[in-house]
Amino acid sequence: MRDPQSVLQLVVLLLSLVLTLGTFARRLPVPYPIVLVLGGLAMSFVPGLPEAPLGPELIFTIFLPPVLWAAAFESDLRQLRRSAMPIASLAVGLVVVTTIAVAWVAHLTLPGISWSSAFILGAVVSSTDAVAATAVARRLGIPRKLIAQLEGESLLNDASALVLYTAAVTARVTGEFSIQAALGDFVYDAVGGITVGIAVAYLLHFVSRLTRDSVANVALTVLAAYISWIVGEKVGASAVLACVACGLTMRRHFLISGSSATRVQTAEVWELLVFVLNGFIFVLLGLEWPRLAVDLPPGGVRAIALPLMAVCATVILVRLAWLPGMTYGARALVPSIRKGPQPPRGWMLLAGWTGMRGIVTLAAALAVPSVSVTGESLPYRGHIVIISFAVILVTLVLQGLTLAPLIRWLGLKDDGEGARELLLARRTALDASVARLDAIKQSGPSDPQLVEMNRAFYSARQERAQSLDGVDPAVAHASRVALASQRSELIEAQRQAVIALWRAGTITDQTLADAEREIDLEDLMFDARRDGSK
Amino acid sequence: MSETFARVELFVMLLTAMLGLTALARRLLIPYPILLVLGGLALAFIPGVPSLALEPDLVFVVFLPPILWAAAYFTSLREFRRNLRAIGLLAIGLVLITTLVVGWVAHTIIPGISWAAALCLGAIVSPPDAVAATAVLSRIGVPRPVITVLEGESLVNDASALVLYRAAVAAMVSGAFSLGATAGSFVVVAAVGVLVGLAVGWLTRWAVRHMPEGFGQVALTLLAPYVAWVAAERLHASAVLACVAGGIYVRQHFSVEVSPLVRIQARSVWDLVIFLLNGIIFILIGLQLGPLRRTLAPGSIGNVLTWGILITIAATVVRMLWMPLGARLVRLDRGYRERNPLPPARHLIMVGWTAMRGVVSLATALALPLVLADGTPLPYRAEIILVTFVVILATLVVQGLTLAPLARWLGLSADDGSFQQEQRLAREHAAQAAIERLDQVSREEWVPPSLASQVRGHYERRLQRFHPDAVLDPSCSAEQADAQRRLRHEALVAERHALVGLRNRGEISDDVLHDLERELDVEALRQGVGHLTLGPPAAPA
Repeated sequence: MRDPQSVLQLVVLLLSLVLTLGTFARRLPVPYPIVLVLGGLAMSFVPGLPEAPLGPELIFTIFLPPVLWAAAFESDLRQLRRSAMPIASLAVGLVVVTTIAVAWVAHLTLPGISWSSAFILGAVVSSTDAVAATAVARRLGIPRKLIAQLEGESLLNDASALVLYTAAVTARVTGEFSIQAALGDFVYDAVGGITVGIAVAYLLHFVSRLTRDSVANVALTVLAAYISWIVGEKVGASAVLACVACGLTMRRHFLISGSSATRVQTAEVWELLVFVLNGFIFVLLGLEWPRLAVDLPPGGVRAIALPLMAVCATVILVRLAWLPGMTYGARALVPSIRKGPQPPRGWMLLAGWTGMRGIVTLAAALAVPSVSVTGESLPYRGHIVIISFAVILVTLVLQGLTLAPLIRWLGLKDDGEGARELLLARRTALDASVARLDAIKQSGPSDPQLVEMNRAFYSARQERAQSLDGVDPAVAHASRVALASQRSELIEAQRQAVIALWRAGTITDQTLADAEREIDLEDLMFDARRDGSK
Repeated sequence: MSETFARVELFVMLLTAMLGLTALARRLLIPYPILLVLGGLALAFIPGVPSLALEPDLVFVVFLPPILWAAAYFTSLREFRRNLRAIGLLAIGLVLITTLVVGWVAHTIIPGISWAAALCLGAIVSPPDAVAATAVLSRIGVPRPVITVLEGESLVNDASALVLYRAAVAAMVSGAFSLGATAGSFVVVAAVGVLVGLAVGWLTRWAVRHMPEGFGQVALTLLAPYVAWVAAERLHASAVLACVAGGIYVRQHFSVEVSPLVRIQARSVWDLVIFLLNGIIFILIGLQLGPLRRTLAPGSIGNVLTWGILITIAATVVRMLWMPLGARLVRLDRGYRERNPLPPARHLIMVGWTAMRGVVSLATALALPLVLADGTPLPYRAEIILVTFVVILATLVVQGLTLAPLARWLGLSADDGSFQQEQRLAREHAAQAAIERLDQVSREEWVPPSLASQVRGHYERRLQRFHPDAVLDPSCSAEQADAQRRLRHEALVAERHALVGLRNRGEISDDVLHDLERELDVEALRQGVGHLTLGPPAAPA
């Protein structure tokens, strides 16, 4: 372990890099992971830069738990359930098929590679990246159902890919492989992981009811990611699924229990945490290149150009072919599916093209052991690492950059379902509060003037919501934006007035902070920027 | 299992213990630093708990920068300026006197200790801790001047104690000491430190202004304390003062440079970071008992305990005596005397008794060099560290637990009304400004008249509420405010249950629920009911 001072300097340096590249990336019409990876790659050629150690343990135990937990916490459970079949076919079926296809191609193109090594490579490159998928899908306007499907797939496929990977690594190190054992592992991993995740979520839910302190509760959510991961590892089940199950379960309970302060703070903290962690992951991914170059087999990249390109092409083509194959196959075989609506062709093409690989692939590749149990060195480790890295780069850059044009070309756009539901939800909420006020008024000894004041407040909003009923969502959104822009003028005026008071020394810093927070919250209440951003 | 995994696991367990102890502290109404230290002590006795030796570097570099920066950020500059002399007297004068007196006591009671080592111990235990003071006082109603002085003191005294500490260590290691050089270095170190802090603060402000709006800005505010710290260390200036100056500077400008969203985000993130750092640091202090026990020579525990208690008493007595003395000392200046009344004795007693030592003392003690210039082991190193540990424990537990009864006994309370007065004034001005701006904007053609009057009505109602004449009877208005909050809460609860119902019936997706829930949450915070958890849905009337 290096001394804290130098570790801190490295972290500060990397964080500055992440911030600079991250803010730069947000201005470009390109998914930010691509900019970060390319930026990291460019930085890796700068001489004198301290080497960032990106070991597989670091990725698996520090970066991955919160990233996966947050992805699960953010995901839309209802949509996941509705798309359970296509998600399962992608997260399990496609992973298995990709692994086999890649193994076969690798065995053909790399002379002398053992089947177990070929299968390791296949498993390593088989799962898509949760972060990359989210970053791309949420930025581009595509139907929400499709987003949910892609996100759901990327949450779950890591687990199945890691099971295959472990089986292949065991086979290579010990020389034994049994399909029953792999299947049994898969079932145990999945069931155990999900059970652990749900159990941890319920336990923490119980603890959070004891503390009631909003900051402590926020800390608890961060801990939840790591606890579910660690317990999952300890019982030998899938830590990935434990983490995902924990995130999904906590999201469900978080809504109803817990205070508003906790929820607002949790949202803010996690947004920053995920931004920073993802930034680190992708920049480190790019920075990793010089260390990987050591693994290059004699003859350099050119010597493995053919297998490299063959594997990349296989990964992309299998995915493109899988979706229509599965959809039409299932419709031909199962009558009940045939009765349902057929997913549009554009969707299948887009989902097939959204196959960016990321950090799990890199971590798994780096974790490939270099010696067997008997101590003999295992060949082709370098090839596996280099080819995996190439698959990450090619899928991220080639597919990531062409997704936006593809979406435009396919004519896909947000179907407006979100906006419609948002209006419905707003109206229902307002109706409920007015009804509750009326009930309070009838039931008890409350100040009628107060009730009237609150009623006036809610009735005004109710009227507004009703006036937007049946209006085109785009028009309704524009009207909200107009209201919000007027509000923001007023909010600016208020803030300036309070700051002037404080400058004059009439109020103290503490009062300024309090008043400012009230004004800020008022602004957030009418913040239209967040609308439709998802 | 890999080493990284084991380390993460240990860290997670530590955090879990910390969260549990803070929750317990809230239940027992004990200031959390005390319970955390005691919990850490207890953990140190459990066999099988890995020993976590605190590295002084880690404390200085990882924990202190954000903690000090945040403490400075929440300091009111107006009050700090007004009490500058009182703060200076405590943070510089009292630190110096405490160092000398403790040094003398240590030299007298610890047989064979050199003057340099004794004074080093004095410097180590001289500064009270910023975090402990804030944590303990926040639960007790104490008048604002008392808090201002205590918080201001604890921001600056670490810097002066560190200068004395370095001089004493240098004297101990090399045998040379110069009073002039120490005083001179104090001035230079302080001035350069403040300049570095201001420069980093200015840079932060510049960068935040030129960055696109978003959490990049929040992350930048987290980075700033570390930059200030590292830069000041590189220039051999006071890193403590750099962080303090930077925090104060950024506070003065954060109001205008960032958007509301970023401010709310920054607040949430900082709250969490500070909560975690403070919690971990106190539990780590307690856990030090494990590694420290092993350094103790057999049979010497009684000695160390006696020395520690005697030194605690000496430091406390010096502080209690210094308070009335210092308060009169500043009044020798006539101008000051005319502007400021003599603070009441109760305030002086309260400030005098609030002197919990904390992490800076422990870290400086642990940072003592192992060997002298000629290579012989540093004499009394283990004793100094252990005595410091005893002083920290004794002040934290004895003073920390008796502060609340003392405040009650002295009849101190938080509220002198001026705070509420200023709050009301701020609200009134804000509403007034909004209405004026509204009248200007309403003339522009994009504003529908109905909308303008609707929004105007909202602000006029608020203006009425905050008008000075509006509050007739304080008790009535407090009741009314309470009722208002309850009503709002009831309405918000109804809204939320309606939304969850829609989601459960599958009429809206989770995404929509998340968006709207945020609106409700922000509104609840705005209405001052953000801390309330949701009750069960009300029965339909």
